[in-house]
Amino acid sequence: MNVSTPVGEATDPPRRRLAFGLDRFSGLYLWAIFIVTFGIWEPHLFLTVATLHTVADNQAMAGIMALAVLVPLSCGAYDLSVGSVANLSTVVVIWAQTSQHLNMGLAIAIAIAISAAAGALNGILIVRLRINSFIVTLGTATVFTAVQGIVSGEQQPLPPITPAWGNLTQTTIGGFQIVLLYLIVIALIVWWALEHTPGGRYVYATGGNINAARLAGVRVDLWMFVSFVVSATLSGVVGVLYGSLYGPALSYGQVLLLPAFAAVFLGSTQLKRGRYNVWGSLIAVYVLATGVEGLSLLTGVQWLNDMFDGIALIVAVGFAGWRQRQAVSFSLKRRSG
Amino acid sequence: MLAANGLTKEFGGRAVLRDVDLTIERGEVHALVGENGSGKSTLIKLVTGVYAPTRGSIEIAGSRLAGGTAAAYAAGCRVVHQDVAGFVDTMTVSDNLSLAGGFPTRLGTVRGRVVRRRVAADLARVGVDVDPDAVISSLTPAARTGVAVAGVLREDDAAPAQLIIFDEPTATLPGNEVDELLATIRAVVARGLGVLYVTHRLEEVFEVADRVTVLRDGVRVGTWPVGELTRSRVIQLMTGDEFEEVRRWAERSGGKDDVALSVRGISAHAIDQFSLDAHRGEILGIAGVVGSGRESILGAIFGSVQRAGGSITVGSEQLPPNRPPASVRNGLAYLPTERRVDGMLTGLNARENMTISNLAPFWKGAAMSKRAEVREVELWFERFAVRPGGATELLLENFSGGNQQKILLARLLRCDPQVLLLDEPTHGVDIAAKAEIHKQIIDAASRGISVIVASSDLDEMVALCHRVVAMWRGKNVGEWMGDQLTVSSVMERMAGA
Repeated sequence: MNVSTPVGEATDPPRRRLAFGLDRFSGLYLWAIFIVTFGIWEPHLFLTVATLHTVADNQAMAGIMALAVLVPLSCGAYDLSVGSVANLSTVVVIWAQTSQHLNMGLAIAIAIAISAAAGALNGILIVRLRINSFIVTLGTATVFTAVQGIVSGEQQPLPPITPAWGNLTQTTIGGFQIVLLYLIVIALIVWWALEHTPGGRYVYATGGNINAARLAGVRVDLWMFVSFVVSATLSGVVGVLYGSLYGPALSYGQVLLLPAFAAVFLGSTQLKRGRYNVWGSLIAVYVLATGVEGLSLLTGVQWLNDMFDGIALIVAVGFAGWRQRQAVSFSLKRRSG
Repeated sequence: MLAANGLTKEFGGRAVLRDVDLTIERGEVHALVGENGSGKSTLIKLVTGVYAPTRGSIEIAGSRLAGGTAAAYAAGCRVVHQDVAGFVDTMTVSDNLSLAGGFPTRLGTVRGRVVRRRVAADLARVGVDVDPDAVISSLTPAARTGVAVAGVLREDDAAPAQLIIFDEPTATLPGNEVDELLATIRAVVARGLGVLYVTHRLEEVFEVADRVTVLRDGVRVGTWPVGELTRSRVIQLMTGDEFEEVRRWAERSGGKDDVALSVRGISAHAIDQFSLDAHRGEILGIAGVVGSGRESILGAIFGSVQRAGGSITVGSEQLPPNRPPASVRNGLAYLPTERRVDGMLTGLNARENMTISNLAPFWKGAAMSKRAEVREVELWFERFAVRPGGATELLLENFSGGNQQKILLARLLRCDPQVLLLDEPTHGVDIAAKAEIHKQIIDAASRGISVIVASSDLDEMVALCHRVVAMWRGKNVGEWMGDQLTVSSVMERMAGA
């Protein structure tokens, strides 16, 4: 005799109440509102091909960075070292070409390999020594920054002068910089891996409940390790592209870190609610960028960027949480009623 | 100290407790025994004011309870639960005991010496030998319980403690620590309080209690001075005789020669050199009170509970310890007790939850075929009568408990395991789902799978299993099959004969 709850079978799946998917597609609606509003307000400045290109191109790095933090987050772990790995990768790829006079392809391969090794180090520390990922990557981030200082001799390196190095990122296709194409290709690969392969399913299962996944036979340690290698490899790609696009820089990576996390958190309220996902993250990146671009065209002030990103993150995630609680209390009412 | 008259509690028109009387004298240890579901916990919740009785009255130390937990507290009623919670594990004993009552201060600074002296006195009062500066997490479970008792007895001038209810305090204690706790209980009654002692371990009843009340199916069977009873008489009173001819779900044809799983001398938390053979096509039950090792044995076999020593063989393969994925590859499948904590993949839907252990059939070279996956999951939904039917894309957490359990069981059966390890498979599920799960277990066994069920529900196991093994203090202490397998025979051994 069980006294606890005399609740019967749940009868229906909770029905989707908003036919237009206001929740799941709120980012897209917001995007449309931005475009229309700014378009009416400043048609000559905002509704231009130049604006389109600026927003699309400038956010390509941020997009790849968001995908880098997306993979470990899906596995239930934080990689705070992505910015440092990107910095390191930039310095390595340039150092290999200017100081070591290696050809570009080899230099890129070395930079990506070192990045992947950095991810492997993160993975080993997390999986083998069972240290919290937040702490591990907070620590390794500073270590990687130190290594970057060793490689660069703490001086901003000179850029390689080969035409191939510039062409790597500064080619345009239909007016768009080629980095946008890189972003799309990488996004397609990550999307395929996460959504359409068993490995992706294992990653999400580990992130959903690592205990349960282990008991179900998932090799959670392996997938945790893999997700950190993937994350660092993508950060390495960002490093190489950034170096080619903007020239040698030592500390831009940390600046990209928080917007990347913000975009992924925001993205988890989009398309597939409650799940970190590729297209949701990219939508978030571009919705925010559009808003910032429009506002800065209107006002011409610089601090808007940070202000807007921060507020949008808190509002959007807060709203999603509030909607979720609404849904829960709704279904509870239905059950007891 | 306690006088309860004609207590009745109904839920939705169904009585879970009927017309129960209970009196506890000053300085008496009164034991309350009964099987799972006999109404013990309902009775405790009535006395502590968590539930209001449908009929009947409760007096504590002469004052009639108005209702509500605050009123029960004011009347002097206190509870010490099993697995004492409510401590801040990283703080010291004296800090923890002072959190509720507040710290004595001078000019805003905590007066450490006063605190320590006060806590030492509290501990001495119940005969607990613990350093007030010891950190809670460093204490044995028995010492923790002792500290909890000391906390409960702290002078609260407005509402001094009169009646202390111990709710299975020894359930998770190793044998040597039980004596420590019983000493604490004797110290409590020596101070003139009344104690209601709820336990599964009958030997303690005879050691510490003055009188014993037996509940069965929500009715008080009777109250006797301990001296007038024997343990086998108590068991008989607890079980009644109606389960002796319980209907068998499965034909009693177990015990084939074909060994599917062989466990030899493994040790783990609460498990001491345990050995077992499970046969193909057999449903094997593992019984035991809380703390007997029954809760961790399946986890230890599967590898989710750390084990030391011994060997586990499936077919001809030796299982490495502590590696669940290796166990899965070797044909084991495990259903954990805590569905939410260890079973459900949160944020994943029913389909993804069901297929996670074996995705190979859906991999079509370049991507997984969602259509093939949905089709297979729909078949399992039908076979297991999952409600709502066909809702393969609904998050698992949105299903009812019984349907979640069916989906998790389907996850295991999809992998064609050789051995199915089920911890409390029908815990917290409704009756319809329970019947469905039983049906699936029997069906799995009839297809040659070796099924091992560890459950606290003895009636269920006697009805379902071909063979039942009893555990006590981590060891295999007896086994029954065929006509010998009855609730009372197993329970006798389970309670530590």
